[in-house]
Amino acid sequence: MSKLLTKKYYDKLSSVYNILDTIEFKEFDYNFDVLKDRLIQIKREQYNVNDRIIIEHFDTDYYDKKILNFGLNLYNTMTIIKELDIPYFIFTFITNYFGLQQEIDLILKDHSREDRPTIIETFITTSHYNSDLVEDLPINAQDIKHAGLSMMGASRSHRYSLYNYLNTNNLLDRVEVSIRGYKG
Amino acid sequence: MTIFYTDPITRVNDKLYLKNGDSNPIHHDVINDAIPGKPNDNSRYQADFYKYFGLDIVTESVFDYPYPFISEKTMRPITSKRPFIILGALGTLTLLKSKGFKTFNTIIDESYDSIADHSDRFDSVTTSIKNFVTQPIEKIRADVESVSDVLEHNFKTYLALEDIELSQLIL
Repeated sequence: MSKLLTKKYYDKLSSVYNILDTIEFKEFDYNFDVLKDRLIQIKREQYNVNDRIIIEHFDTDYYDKKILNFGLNLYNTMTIIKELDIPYFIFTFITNYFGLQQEIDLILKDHSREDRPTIIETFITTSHYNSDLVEDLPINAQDIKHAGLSMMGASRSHRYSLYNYLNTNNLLDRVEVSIRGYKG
Repeated sequence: MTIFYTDPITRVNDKLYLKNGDSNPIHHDVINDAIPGKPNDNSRYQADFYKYFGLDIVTESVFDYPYPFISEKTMRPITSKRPFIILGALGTLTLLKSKGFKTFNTIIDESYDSIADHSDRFDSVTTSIKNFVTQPIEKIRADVESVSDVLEHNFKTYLALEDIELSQLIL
């Protein structure tokens, strides 16, 4: 069962596909043997045209342009599928990364055009989206007391860069910041 | 200077730096006395305290990616009806427009969105931030008021987005 797809999205996919499995990228991106074992279990001799394995790809990847023009984890995933001799067409990748199609095209540049995974690029996931929970709040611009807000969250280099920019430009009295750092 | 916190975290000092192995976390709620409001079940998607702010500076999960990556951080100002600037990958605003959202080029210089060089884009984003947040609060209130139709449009677009996407999905 899907963890990240909304019920409507999953129901739509289920109405068209016979979903063999739904695998979240985070379940295996630190140990690709997990993916390998999972795929071996569901591997079949033959597939029907509507059989699908859903890969929920909603996490960041690793890049080094000196070596690869695509994400390292994505490359590993595609390599394992090939090694197990499972056709790519039975995979549907759902992702909030709007370059996945281009990267898979690069990885499969020498592979048959007839055997490609389906890519759905969307930010409709349970992590991003819940139209039932949000309220139609008034704008009330007169309530504004602070110029800006930045809910940075987990530490990442560009967030530290922005924090340092705000700090060195004396803007932290204009912008409220939330960041997870480390005590100095 | 007010810094407030979300999860079990450690304090960010003025001179910010990472120090691996530091095990002295300080727990703070996202709301403190200076920012009245209360976290609730839907705070991941919408935050009531956004009403006290004129601009959300969204720091997306990635910045130097080749293509846009959209997290819940970009959705929150949309559901909370506040303008935003995105520190994210090249073309993130363009992608949002392709999904039916509108952005804020009448009150914010959004030229950063089309700058491919990451360092130059960072400089452009921070200049836009500085230009906006250093305005008097009265001017910021007026700016937000002036884009109220965009904020309402984006909220409605968010609500309809799932049904629109599913109706267009070709499987």
